[in-house]
Parts: sequence; C-alpha cells; structure tokens
Amino acid sequence: MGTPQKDVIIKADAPHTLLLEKHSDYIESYGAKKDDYEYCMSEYLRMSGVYWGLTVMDLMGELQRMNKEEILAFIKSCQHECGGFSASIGHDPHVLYTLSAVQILTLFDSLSEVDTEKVVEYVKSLQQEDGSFSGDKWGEIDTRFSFCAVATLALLGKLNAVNIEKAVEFVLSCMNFDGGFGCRPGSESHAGQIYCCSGFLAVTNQLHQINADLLGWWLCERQLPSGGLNGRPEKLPDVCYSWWVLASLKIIGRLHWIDREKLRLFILACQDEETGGFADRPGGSISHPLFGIAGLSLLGEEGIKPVNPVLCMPEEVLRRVGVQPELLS
Amino acid sequence: MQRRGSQELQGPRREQAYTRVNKFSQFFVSKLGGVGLYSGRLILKYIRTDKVRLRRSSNVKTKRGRHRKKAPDQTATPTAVGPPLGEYNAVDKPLMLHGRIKVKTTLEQQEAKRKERERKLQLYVSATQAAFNKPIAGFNGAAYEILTRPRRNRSKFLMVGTYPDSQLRKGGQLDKEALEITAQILALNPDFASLWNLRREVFLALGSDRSDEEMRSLYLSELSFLQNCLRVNPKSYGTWYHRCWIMKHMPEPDWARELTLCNQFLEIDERNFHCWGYRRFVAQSFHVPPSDELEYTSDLITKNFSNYSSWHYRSKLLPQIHPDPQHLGRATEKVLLSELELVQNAFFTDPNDQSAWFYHRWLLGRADLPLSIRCISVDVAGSWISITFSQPVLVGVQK
Repeated sequence: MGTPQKDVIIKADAPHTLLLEKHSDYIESYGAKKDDYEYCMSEYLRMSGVYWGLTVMDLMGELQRMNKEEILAFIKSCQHECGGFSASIGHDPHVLYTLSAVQILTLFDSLSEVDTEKVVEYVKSLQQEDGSFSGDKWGEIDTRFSFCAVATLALLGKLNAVNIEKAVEFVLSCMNFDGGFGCRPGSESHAGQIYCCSGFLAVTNQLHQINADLLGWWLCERQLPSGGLNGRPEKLPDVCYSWWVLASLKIIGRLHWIDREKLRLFILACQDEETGGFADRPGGSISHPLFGIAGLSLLGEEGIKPVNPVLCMPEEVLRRVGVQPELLS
Repeated sequence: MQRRGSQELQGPRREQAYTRVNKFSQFFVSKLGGVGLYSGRLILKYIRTDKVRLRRSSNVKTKRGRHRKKAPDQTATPTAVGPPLGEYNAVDKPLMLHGRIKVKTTLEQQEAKRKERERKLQLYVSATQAAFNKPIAGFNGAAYEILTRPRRNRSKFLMVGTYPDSQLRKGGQLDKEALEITAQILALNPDFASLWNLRREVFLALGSDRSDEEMRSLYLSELSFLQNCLRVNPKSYGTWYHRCWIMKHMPEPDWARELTLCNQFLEIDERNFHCWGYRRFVAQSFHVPPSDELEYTSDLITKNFSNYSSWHYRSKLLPQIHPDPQHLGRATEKVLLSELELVQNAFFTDPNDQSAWFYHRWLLGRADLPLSIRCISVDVAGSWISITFSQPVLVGVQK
C-alpha cells in the first residue's frame, strides 16, 4: 500500500487580495501582548521572532513603526562575554540568535552598537575539525548552523575568519540521492535544510556544486494541487515552505518550475482576515507572516519590497552593506 | 534521589502507583481551585516524571508517583523501553506542526483550549519564576508558587521575563532541585534550549562528587524523563539532542534499548526525521551492521512503500554494504537491478507515489559507465588540450 496524497481544499470565500495593513497592525501589536500565551511560550526564540517581525515590516515599508531604541537595547543586553547572542535576556548564546541579532543590527544600520569582533570570535569558536559548526558550546551539529555561521560572517564582512574549504566539504557531505540536503551526513532531505545548504553554498560562492536540475525537480514536486508547497514528499502544504522551497528554487535559478499564480492564491488564502497574520494552511494554526510575505515578494507581488533569497532581508539593505551572493541562472 | 531503575512496575506495586497518582491528581486539582479533573490530569501528564516532586514550602513532603496508561501487553514485554508508548496527547500540539491535518474546532472546544492554555501558562511562568527565585527566596516549589501567588500579581511575573541562567547558576545551585524545576518547564516547552543546557551543567557538576551508581541512576532517570517529553512532542530538536548527549556521557549506555525506542517512535510516525537522525546516531554508536538496518527499511517498505525516509536510508546503506568495484560510492550492478525490481513493484501499484519515482531516477543514474574518453578539444592558438572522461579519473604529474 501507499500513502494517499495529503492536501487541502481552498474555499471560494478565502481571501484573495493582500491585506498589508492588517499584517503590519498585527506585527506592531504583537509585542504589546506580553502576557499572551504564544508570546511567553516563544521567549526561547525571541531574537529570531524580532528579526522576523522587523524584516516583514521592512518588506512592507513599515519599519518606522517599530521601536528601534528599545530593540537595540534588548539586543545589547543579549550579547554574552563569548561574543554570541542569546534569544532573550539571560538565556544562553546560540548561533541561531547570533545571526538574527546581526540581521536586525544590519536592518537598522547599527552594527557599531555591539562588539562585532567578538561576534566573529564566537562564530569561529563553533567550527569543528570536520568543517561543521555546532550551534553552541554544547555540540549539536547541523547544516542549519553552517548557514547561520557563514551568513553572520558575510554580513560582518569576515567570511575568511573560518575555514571555508572545510565548511563547504562538510555541507557537501550532507548531499543526498535526490540532490537535496539533510541536517547531518546521512540525514534525509528536507526543504528547510535545503534552503540552509543552498544559501550556504551561495554565500560561499559554491553553487556550481549543486545538481540544479535534480534538486529543482525535487523542489518543484513540493507543489500540491492546491498550489501550496510541502517540505518533504507525502506531507501537507504549509505556508512556511513558500519561503524555504521558493527561496531555494530562486537560488538555483529554477523558480519558474512551479505554478506561481496557484502558489500566490494559496498564500493569500492563508491570510487571517480578522486579525491579520497567516495560518500555516487555510484554516490552520498560526504561522509567522514573514514566510508568506517574503514568499509573495519572490513571486513579484506589488506593494512588497524585493527580498534576497539567501539572507531573507530586503535587497536594498543588502545593497547598502554590499552583500550580494551570486545565484544560479 | 531513589530510583527504581527503568523496569516496569508490575502487580500490586503498579496498582499502588495508580492510587498515588490519583491522590496526587486530586491534591493538585483541589489546590488549583476548582479546575476540572481533566485539566488536572493533563497538567499531571506533563509533570508526571518520577523526578518531579512538588513541595510545599520548606517541608520536604513529597508526593510521587508514576502515571501509567493501561497497557496490559506491556507486562508481557520485558524488553519494552520505559513506560508504554500510548498515543501521545493531541490536546496541545506545539504552534507549528508540519504535516498534520488540522481539524476545525467548535466554539466550545476553543474555550476549553483557551482555559487549558491559561492553566498551562500559569504553571509554566510560575515554575520559571520559582527557578529564578530559588536561591533568593528559598525554594517554594513550582506548584506552591501557583497556589500562593495572588492572581493580580501574575501578570507582573510575566513582565519580568525569564532568566534561566541568572539565579540557579549564579547561586551555584546546580543540583537535583534544579533538575526538578527545569523538568517542569521543559515538560511544557521542550524547545526552551537554555534549560536543557542547565540540566547538562547539573549532570557535569554532580558527576564530580557522586558515586558512579548514583550517577547511573540519575542518567537513567533522565532517559525516562526524556522519553515522556518525546511522547508529548516527538519533534523537538532540543529533546533529541539532549538524549544524544546523555547517551554519550552516561556510564554503560544501553544501546539496544535505544534501538527499541527508535522502533517504537518510528512505528508511531515513520517519517519523523528527528527519530531517524537519532537512529543513525544509535546505529553508529552501537555498531549495528548496515545490513540489519537495510532489513529494517525493507520491513517498513513492505508495510508502506511510500516511505520516503526508508528509500532515502537505502540509498545510503546499499553503497556501504555492496560497494561498487571502482569505489565511486555506488552499489554493485546486481544489487541495483534487484532494487529496480523492488521499486517497480511500488510504482506499478501506485503510479502517483513520488517516493518510488525519486528512488527510481537515482537507481538509473547509478549504472557503471565503462571508462572512456567522451570528448577531446584542442586549442592551437592557446596551446591547450581539454579531455572529458566518462568517469572521474585521478590526474597526476609524473616525475
């Protein structure tokens, strides 16, 4: 026996226009509800949450509505002696939140507010002999962390601080039979991981190592009849893959291999008309608006600034700091 | 702390445990003030590990017990790992769960969920708060915090935020009590990475002055706690990694037991890539022959051929078990042909299944090409020659 295809049906009355104003109101009010269940339960990833919120606001041209001073003060109080940043005050430093902090500082053109030399030292300290990166001092290895490490260094203009050759070797050792990538050597391909690895290879200028046709085939097969994308074969669609899959396709120059208009309608149908924000799939649970909005940006939606598929930041910001990874065509 | 090891409770002791749990549950519910028994049980479910003790003030009165699902077959399987694997609770999934069908809820269910979340949040925040206040105000216990804290002050605690590294660590309280408090929070939110770090620090600190036997019992207790956490949320990176860390650090790790655990979790969800990752870690540490693992994937594919995770694993195992003569990372021609037959059976049955087709394409691309020169180009003006071979060749300069 096999597994029947899993998909959703989009209802006729689902939203089909972009509710930009509602989304920016949603983001602006998010931090105000500090005793909210989701807010408290997500403190462990606060720094990334702030980065997602600010990026989506910037893409919608509403960054000025966010409290820059308060956020910068928060970031500074999250930097640790070792140079790394934690998700929130008093939590432990981790490369995930170090990248988010550096991305926020870049958005605000405020990198000088923190000790960037120490950040570089921190990232350096995470590289292992085989070229991989651990997420923090406790030793978990994952290609996600390889991406975070080089993306952080690229934004700081210090890519050469680590052994890039070894780092590339490790990421390539995680390539699979389907052209995709997993967390560690031997791990199954996953769209989120493919985004990290293709982003990593873009930052390190090694995209020629990818078999773009093979990987492109796997990625475009993520599209389901509803138009939505899933993250692995035989899974349900989820709006977050409108970012992970689409950005990967853009990086390897195969964005035109999916039905753009159907995906656009799927993303729009995931909007919450009442409160703003997005669901992971029509009628589903909460997903961060960044994934939907950034996906729409890659599809060329009007009213949203162009996003960079590698660093998930507005192109104009990356032009300003001179970080423009080359993509495949 | 006393530990009973990992063996199953049986007979009268098992009954006793049930009674204790029920009493405990009633105590908990009554103290929460009129919460339905269901909610009480739910909260209990999250904090039921036998390490988690709830204390009232400084009085070291302990209420402990193991919550067991009724699983009569478990008594017949002495090799079962830890508590039986029941269906894990679907009431409160984490915010973003991929690949699960979301069922539309009624207003009544929404209200019940809201209340449930409010309870959970109170427990969570108060436990976190208790963790911070421990060295300063003396340990009052998480539940006691909930019971005694005036309602109007609760929002204030929420504003304070969480400071896992500040009090417990600065106060030097890296002890078993720290394990108990963080267990309560992690049972509710296993993605709180800093707290797993804190637990590792506790293990390292305790390891320096405790007997091996005591440490082993603590490690076993940790594995049992982790299993409960995984059952509630089988897709948390932090929980799986902590299990790896514990297995790497504990004396005499029981790898066979871990393999059984993987089998059980993969039976619940055959596509859980976290568990597959852990399985590869176990197989490597335990030196499981790749042929055994291949057989395992064959079993899974026989049950359901659209198991992409299994096909993927085969693509890694076959070149190890039957390496090609040229050592190009492929498998032998004979094995490739038998795989081709297997995968053809799959897509003849269901031609829309993606897994089989991806694997099929990989197999076809694996055939051995005889070594030959495909193309030679000569540039007279630039004085160079370019040669393309059908296989990678080692080019060296002969001295």
